[in-house]
Amino acid sequence: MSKNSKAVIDRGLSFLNIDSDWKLTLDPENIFWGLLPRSNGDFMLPDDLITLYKKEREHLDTEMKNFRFNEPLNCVYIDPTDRCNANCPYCYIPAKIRKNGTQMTREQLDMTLSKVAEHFKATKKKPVVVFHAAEPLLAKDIIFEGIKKYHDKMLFGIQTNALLLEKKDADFMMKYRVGVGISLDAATAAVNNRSRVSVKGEGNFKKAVRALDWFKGYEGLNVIATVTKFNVDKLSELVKFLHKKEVPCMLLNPVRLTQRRSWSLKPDDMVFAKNMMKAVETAVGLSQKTRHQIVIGNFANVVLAIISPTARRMMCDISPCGGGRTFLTVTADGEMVPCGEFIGFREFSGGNIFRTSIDSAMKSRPFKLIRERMVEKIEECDTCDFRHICGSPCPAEMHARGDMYQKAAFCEFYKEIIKQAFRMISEDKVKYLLRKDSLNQMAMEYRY
Amino acid sequence: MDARLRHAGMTEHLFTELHDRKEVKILNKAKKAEKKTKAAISFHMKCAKTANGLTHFVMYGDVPKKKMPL
Repeated sequence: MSKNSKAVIDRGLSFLNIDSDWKLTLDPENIFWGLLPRSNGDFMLPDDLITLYKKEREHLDTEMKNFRFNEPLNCVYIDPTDRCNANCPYCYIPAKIRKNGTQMTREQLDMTLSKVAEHFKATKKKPVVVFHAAEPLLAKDIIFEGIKKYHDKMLFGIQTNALLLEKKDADFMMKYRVGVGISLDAATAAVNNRSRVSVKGEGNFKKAVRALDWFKGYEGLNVIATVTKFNVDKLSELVKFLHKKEVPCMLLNPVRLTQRRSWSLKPDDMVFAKNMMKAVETAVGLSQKTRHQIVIGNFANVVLAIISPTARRMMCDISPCGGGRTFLTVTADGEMVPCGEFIGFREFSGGNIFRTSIDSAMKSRPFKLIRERMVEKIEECDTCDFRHICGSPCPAEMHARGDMYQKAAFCEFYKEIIKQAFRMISEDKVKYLLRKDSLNQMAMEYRY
Repeated sequence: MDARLRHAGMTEHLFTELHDRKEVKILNKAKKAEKKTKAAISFHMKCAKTANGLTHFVMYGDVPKKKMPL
């Protein structure tokens, strides 16, 4: 080993096997990485790659530090109602709240949106406002009024199970360029309706699929599937189904274990990883063969975390997470919590938006507590090479399981898909894994 | 060593003596594969046009403001 390479290894370059053809070298602190070809198990770390690493190290350190600690708030989730017309077994909102919860009045929603506008009035970028859980369309009249009134000041999104969605609502959303997330867990009613159960005992399959047809070709559409042991082996079929419907983006999110009743639905990590990769390969194959591209958003986020860490969008997979940092949630009774996952834990409220400001919530002790949860303080994560790619989500989930300072419930799943992401980078498949427009928004800083 | 890889190392002169088109295709593929797997890979990209807000909802490109044909 040369003197040059020993020095950088001391600084923190790790070496991991990706597969029989590739070795990964990685600085876990700033995600400088290199894929090194293996021959009969041997590999060589080229001197000029070390030189590149030394040249970029300080800049990458600063970039990562800023991304972790200096990103401003840019998204507010608003739950206009606590009530829901569905009864999904994994919902992170306690059943009692969903059944008897409160709902914002027109005036309260207007006050909330005006405080969001006030908070962001000096910033150049428009904030993103997402109407989210429980089921926002139970309050669609006041939501749509809010969108009409504030659409020039904010970007809007709505996450819905589509049970109450009508054609005219879809037209309205497309007219106002609202990002739309439809909840759908499987390509068949039989599987989907096991987890996406409506209060009436049916599922949302029929109505969600009808909604997909209304939004066909709309760039702002995505589908969110929650992966449980019910649908884990059917993810690839869902990709094919959604590709036919011309859905541009889908998420295969691991079930959050925030409520005890969801614990029994957790799929095995390695089974999930295997099926996730099958789904990713299916999406890549379809995107290569056809005119229409479909992207698996949460896998794309892992790829971004490697090739362009600051371009990633899902702020669950970074430490500290985005909760109480780059986004927050306003519940139907006005409480500001770091993230919707904290709805059941009111001790994490940073204040009530009807009585105080967003700024005071951001400075509150509960929000600081979430921002202080970092991989450096979590056993195993503190020495894991992938700590700034996975971020060890999620604090609410781990708080519910006894201690926020535990590693991610899906740790083995993340490790495996990160390795697979490196493998796909080595196969030059990045262009099929990210949305075309996202690559257009990026510029190459260096290439070895 | 795999016979195809051995062939891939042949000189251009010998290579042109192969008349079977299929064989030539295979050799080209093997050559390309060998070339591809030989170099180390590393790159880093940056947001050039920053997207409007980092969110875990509007995925990978905010909804374009200009309405596109549906």
